[in-house]
Amino acid sequence: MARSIKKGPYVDTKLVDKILAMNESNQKKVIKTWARRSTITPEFVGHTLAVHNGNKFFPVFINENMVGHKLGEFSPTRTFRGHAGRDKRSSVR
Amino acid sequence: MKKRPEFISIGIITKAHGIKGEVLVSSLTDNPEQFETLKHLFITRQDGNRSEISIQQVRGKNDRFIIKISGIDNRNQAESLQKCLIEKRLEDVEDLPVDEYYIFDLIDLNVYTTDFQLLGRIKDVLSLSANDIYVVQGESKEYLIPAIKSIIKKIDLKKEIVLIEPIEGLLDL
Repeated sequence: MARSIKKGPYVDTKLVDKILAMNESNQKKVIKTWARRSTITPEFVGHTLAVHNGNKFFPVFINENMVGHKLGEFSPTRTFRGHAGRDKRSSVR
Repeated sequence: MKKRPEFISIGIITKAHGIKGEVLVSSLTDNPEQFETLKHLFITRQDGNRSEISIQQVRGKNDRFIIKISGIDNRNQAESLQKCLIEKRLEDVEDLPVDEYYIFDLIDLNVYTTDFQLLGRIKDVLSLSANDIYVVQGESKEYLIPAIKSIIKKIDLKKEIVLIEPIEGLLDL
């Protein structure tokens, strides 16, 4: 069942407070968070959050397209390492 | 300079399909169209034997294809190819646009910070939906470096170095 519209999106308040403080002081640092269920709001854009996946903190750079999604969507809990020597690419975004 | 692999895997045969010798292939490449366009493809069996093949027909989409290989005309022959890799020569690897790199080129590059402190070597590259992550094996710990322009300042494949400017807290993860 979807979350009630009346409540609005769930955002982790401790995390938002830290991000707003960084925005005010124009500072950039990586924040560790376990709040995978927190929705990404426009204030998060441009920051790098280390989202815990149960084992490690994966650094996630937040961009405009991620607004409205949950943090946990970008830190997978299962990682397929794949086959050696494959023809896969990596891009610096 | 680092030695690049001679052959690059672009697919793996998962199982036989039908009775006419077709096989089902899972793609290991970001550009699956090359199954149809490449002239020289090779098949590497599990014992390491490699032989050139020609592909008669390709159908399917996304990451799974049904392929008809010349000379493989019945199901028994197709079943013998299960778990074999389909590879291409390194010369057939296409050039990439700026800021894109093949993962096999990035593996084992030395990672330095902008104050020329050696962090370690790239052990793996994780392709996540947000950004790729370079797994850097240092002397005592493993670092996860996001592949974003504000952090990755330079990648020099000839000198085998990656220069990064870590933001506060990144190396403490």
